[in-house]
Amino acid sequence: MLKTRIIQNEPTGAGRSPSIIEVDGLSKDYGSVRAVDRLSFSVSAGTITGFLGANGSGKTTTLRALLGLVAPTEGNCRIDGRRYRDLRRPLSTVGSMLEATTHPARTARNHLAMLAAEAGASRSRVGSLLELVELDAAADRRVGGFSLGMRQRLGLAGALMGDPAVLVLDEPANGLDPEGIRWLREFLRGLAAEGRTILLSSHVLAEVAQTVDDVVVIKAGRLVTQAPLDTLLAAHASHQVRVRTAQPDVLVTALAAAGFTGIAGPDGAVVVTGCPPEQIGRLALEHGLVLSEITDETPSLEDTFLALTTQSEEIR
Amino acid sequence: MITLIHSQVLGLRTLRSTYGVLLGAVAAVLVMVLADLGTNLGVAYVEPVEVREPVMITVGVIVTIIVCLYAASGVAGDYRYGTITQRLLAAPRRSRLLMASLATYTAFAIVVGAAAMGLALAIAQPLVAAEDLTLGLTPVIVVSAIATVPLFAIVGVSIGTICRSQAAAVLVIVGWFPAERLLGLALGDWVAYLPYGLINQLLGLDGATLGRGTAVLCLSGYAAVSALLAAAVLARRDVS
Repeated sequence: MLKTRIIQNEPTGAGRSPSIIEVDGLSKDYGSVRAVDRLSFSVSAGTITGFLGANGSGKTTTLRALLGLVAPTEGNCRIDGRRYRDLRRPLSTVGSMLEATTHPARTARNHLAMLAAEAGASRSRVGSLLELVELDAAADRRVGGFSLGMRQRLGLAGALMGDPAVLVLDEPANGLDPEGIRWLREFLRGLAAEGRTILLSSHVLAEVAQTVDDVVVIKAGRLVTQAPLDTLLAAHASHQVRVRTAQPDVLVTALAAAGFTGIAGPDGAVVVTGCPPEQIGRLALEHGLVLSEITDETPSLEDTFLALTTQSEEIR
Repeated sequence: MITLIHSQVLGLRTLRSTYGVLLGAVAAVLVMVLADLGTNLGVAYVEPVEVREPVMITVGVIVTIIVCLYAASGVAGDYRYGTITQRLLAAPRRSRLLMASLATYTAFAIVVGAAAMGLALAIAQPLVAAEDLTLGLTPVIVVSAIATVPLFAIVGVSIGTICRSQAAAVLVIVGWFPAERLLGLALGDWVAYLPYGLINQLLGLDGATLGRGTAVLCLSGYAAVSALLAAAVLARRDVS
């Protein structure tokens, strides 16, 4: 059995747990290119936070700065109140999964055995973790022959080696098939239920929408928004419905009387904002209108994400 | 530090290339010592300094370079395969990681050097005795030959850390041979103070002009300076 460490979440203020990850005014320049620009956000203890942005928006650089792999040009990052390099037992405090960090000629078991030695964990934990990520059957195969999904699972096992309370995962769903994404979602939810704090990056909101509690969205290295996912979606998901009827003026008037806005276009269609299609149908019925078209044009999750993250300027 | 060294030892033990190096060292000893002594013993090699030359060159030069290349490509391989990320996550104070690498490869080099010397002597001694000749070995001579292996392993780790690329590291180590020869044209006798020149001095080969103590001190200096340089580079480097 894996031992787990539970962070005691003590709600503060508006019911939020204290921040365990803090990024404060982080900037990182690579020569003349600014990859991260005065970025500040925090992650509450015991939550799963999605760190979202398009490719090249500075997510990986931020995570690497958080983990002490990249030196910030300005600002600082702290985990549990300390810089990563000042953590007494880093692998037991923060588990991380970044891009490929395994030697292809080494077996999964040997790779984890090395990590166990570094984390001061027992060899028995290697077997437990291989079982947990469902790689026990492939434990003695060389990692070079692993599929991307298997490597991701091995990476997750490695991140958990020190039984950390905080996990930092860079694009853990990258390259996974739908079944793999479902497995990952359930796996992360299980970890969160144990009280761990998880910060995971992604460039696809839909991949993580069913997993995360909060989101931090960045664009061109700058913070766009940080909010609970529900709040973000509600703010960007106003209903927009296209309706076609022989009497658009009557429909517009009826909508206005009900407190909604309908704008009749030159093609005869009425674009209604903020009113669900079912309610439009009821209003049409009440006023004896025949509808020839009713199309929900509400922005999808991806539309919302794209609107937030589409690059106005290319970083790389 | 112990955990880092333990991890690095596990890393060496779990790669086939480590055993390839060991086999390469054994093959080098067998071929070099047998071939050279078989041809020249009692003919060109009569004096002890001549008789032991194949043993000293095999251990002090061939095995030393094999281990130096292995250390350099092993450390640079961490960058090639991205495993440096995991190592630095485990050792955010980077000097500790470098110290662990130096300790691990130094220990490995001592083991390989001592084993190569043991094997070389096991082959050479009966051949030499059969010709009624002597190797004229003293503990100082034996230790000097073995000592070149770890000293160059330190240089290898440092070059691998600085270069980050296995190909570049190998190029530096192998390319330094002709480079040192060219420098010798300008430096004259001072070439004896350059790294490969110091091997001749440390092994007491024909034409050695420096004492073994001076040679080991100079080589230790090169090893220390290269390690300090590697530490400075590693401390400042972004791993992205």
